[in-house]
Amino acid sequence: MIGIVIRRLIALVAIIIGVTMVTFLIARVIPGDPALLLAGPNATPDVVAKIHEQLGLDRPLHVQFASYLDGLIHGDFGVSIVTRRPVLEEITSLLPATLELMLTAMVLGLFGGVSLGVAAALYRNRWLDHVIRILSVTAISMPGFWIALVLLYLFYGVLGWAPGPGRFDPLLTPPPSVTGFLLVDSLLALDFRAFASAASHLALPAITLAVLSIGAGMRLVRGSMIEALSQDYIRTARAFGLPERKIILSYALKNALLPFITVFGLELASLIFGSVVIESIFSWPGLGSFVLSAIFALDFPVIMGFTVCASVVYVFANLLVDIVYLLLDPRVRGIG
Amino acid sequence: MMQGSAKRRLMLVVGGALIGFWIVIALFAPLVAPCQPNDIDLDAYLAAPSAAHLLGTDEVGRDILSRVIFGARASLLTAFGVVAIGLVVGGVLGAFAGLIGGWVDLLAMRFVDLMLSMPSLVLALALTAALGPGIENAMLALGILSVPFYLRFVRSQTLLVREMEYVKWSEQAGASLWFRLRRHVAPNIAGPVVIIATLHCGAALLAGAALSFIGLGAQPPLAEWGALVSAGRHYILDQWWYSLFPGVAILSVSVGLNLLGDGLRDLLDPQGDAS
Repeated sequence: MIGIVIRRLIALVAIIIGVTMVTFLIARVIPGDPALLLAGPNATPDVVAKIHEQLGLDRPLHVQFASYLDGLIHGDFGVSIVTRRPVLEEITSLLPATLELMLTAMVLGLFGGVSLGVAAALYRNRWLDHVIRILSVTAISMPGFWIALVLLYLFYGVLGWAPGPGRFDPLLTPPPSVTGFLLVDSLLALDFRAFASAASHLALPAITLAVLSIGAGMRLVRGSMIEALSQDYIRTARAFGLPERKIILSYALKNALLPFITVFGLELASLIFGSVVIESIFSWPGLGSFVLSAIFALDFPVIMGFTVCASVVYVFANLLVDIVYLLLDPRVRGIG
Repeated sequence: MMQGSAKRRLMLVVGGALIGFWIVIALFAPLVAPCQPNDIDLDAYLAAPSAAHLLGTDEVGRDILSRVIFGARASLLTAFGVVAIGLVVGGVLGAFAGLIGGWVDLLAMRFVDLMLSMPSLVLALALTAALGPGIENAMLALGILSVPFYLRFVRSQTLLVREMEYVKWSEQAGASLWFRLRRHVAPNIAGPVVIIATLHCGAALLAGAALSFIGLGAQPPLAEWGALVSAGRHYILDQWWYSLFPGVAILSVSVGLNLLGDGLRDLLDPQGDAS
C-alpha cells in the first residue's frame, strides 16, 4: 500500500514537470513573440529588444524553461502584465471565492447525483426511473452557460427569488475575513444576515455547476447500485430479515459508491472549466473571471500560472481519489 | 415495463432523427432560412417572436431564426472537425502504436498518460488563447487535445485485433503495416470507435459552444450557437428569446448525439444494460 503511494508520488513529480512543460510551450512558443505583445504595436525595435533582455527571452528555450520551473518551485509565478502584481498573490487572493463555489457545487452534485441514482435503481424500469434517466441525459447534454442564463432569467428576472449577480449584497458589511469563505466567515461572526446574503448569492452559480455533474453521477450510481442490489450478500441480508433501509444504505450503497469516487476526481476538470465560464455570467469575483479577463488581455503569466495551478490541483485530487479508493477497497491493493 | 430492444430502438430513432434534422437544416440553410443571417431590419431590433420573425430579432434587427439555422453550420462543423482531428490523428497513431508495439508503443502511452492526467478543457482554454480567438483555432485546440483520448482507445482495440489468428498470419506472411491497419484493424474496430466518436461529438459540440460563448471561438458577425447565446446574455431579463433558442438548438443536437451513442453502445454490448 505505502509502496503504491510512493510510486504514484514519484510519477506525480514527472507529471507536474510535464504539465509545466506543456503549459510553457503553449504560452511561450505558440503566440510568437511575447515581447511584441507586451510592447504594443507602436514600440521601436530597441524597446522590444530591451523587453527581450528583461524577460530573458533572448536565452535558449530550455534555459528559459529551467528558470521558469525554478521560479515555480520557489513560489515565483511571474508578475501579471495587467495588474503588475505577483501572479501567485492574485491567485491566492481570488481562490477562496472560487473554492467556495466549487465545493458547494460538489456537495450539491454529490448529494443530487447519489440520491437520484439510488432512486432510479430502486425503481428500476418504472416511471420514476424513466423520468430520472431522461433528466440525466438532458443534464449531460445541456450547455452550462445556457443553464446559468435560464436560471438567472427564471429565479432573478421572473420570480425574484434570487439576488442579482455578485457574491454579496453591496449594502451589507461583509464579515471579517478568516477563511475567505463568506459562508463560514459569516457564521464565525454570528452574522446571520450576512450568511443569508452569501448563501443566496451562491445558490444559482452553485446549482448551475452542480447540474453539470449530477447527470453523469446519477447514471453511474444507478448502474453500480443495480449491480450491487443483485449481489448474493444482499439476498442473504434480506433472507436474514434485515430492514430494507439498512440493506440499501449500508450494504448496497457503500459498494455502489466506489466507482463514483473515481469519477469525482475526473469531474474536477469540468468544474474548473465550468467555473471560468459560469463565474463571468454571475459576476462572481473569483479566479475564473480573473483568468477570463487575463485571456483577453493576453496576460500570459496569469494564464500560465492558472493552467499550472489547475493542472497540479487536478493531478493531486486524482491521486487523493486513488488513495481513498485503495483505503476503501482492499481488493485493488494487491494490483497497484 | 419497456423491453431492452424497444428502448434501444427508441433511443436510436430519436437520436438519429434529431441529428438528421439538424444536418439537413445545416446543408440546406439558405433554402430553409427566411432571411440571410446578417440581414438587418432596423425597424425591428430586439423584437419579440412574431409572424414576421418567428424567434424574434437581435439588437441590430437580425432574424434569430435565420441565425440559428445558419448557426447550425458553424456549430456542427466545429464539433465534427474536433472529432475528425482527434479520430484521424489519434486513431492512426494509436493503431500504429498497437501494431508496432515495443518502444514506440511505450513512448506513445507515456505521452498519453501525461496528456490524460491534465484537465484538457483548461488546456484548451490556454491553447485557444495562445493561437488567438477564432472558430478554427478553437476547433484545432479541442481537436489536438482529444488526440490522446483516441490514441489510447484505438490502441487498446488494436491490441485485441492483433491477437486474432488471421491477423498474426497476415503479419507472418509479410503484409505491410499499412495493409494490416487498413484491412484488418480498421474494419474490426470501426464499431466501438464510432460509438466513442458519437459520444465525444456531443462533448465537442458543448466545448466548442462554450469557447464561442466566452469569446474565444466564433467571432462576430458569424452565426454560431454558443456566440448567439453569448450575444443574447445582456438582454436575458427582457428579451429572453434571444439566448433561449440558440441554447435549445445546442441542447437538441447534444441530446441527439448522446442518445445515438448510448443506443449504439447498447446495440453492440447488450449486457451493459445497467448503464
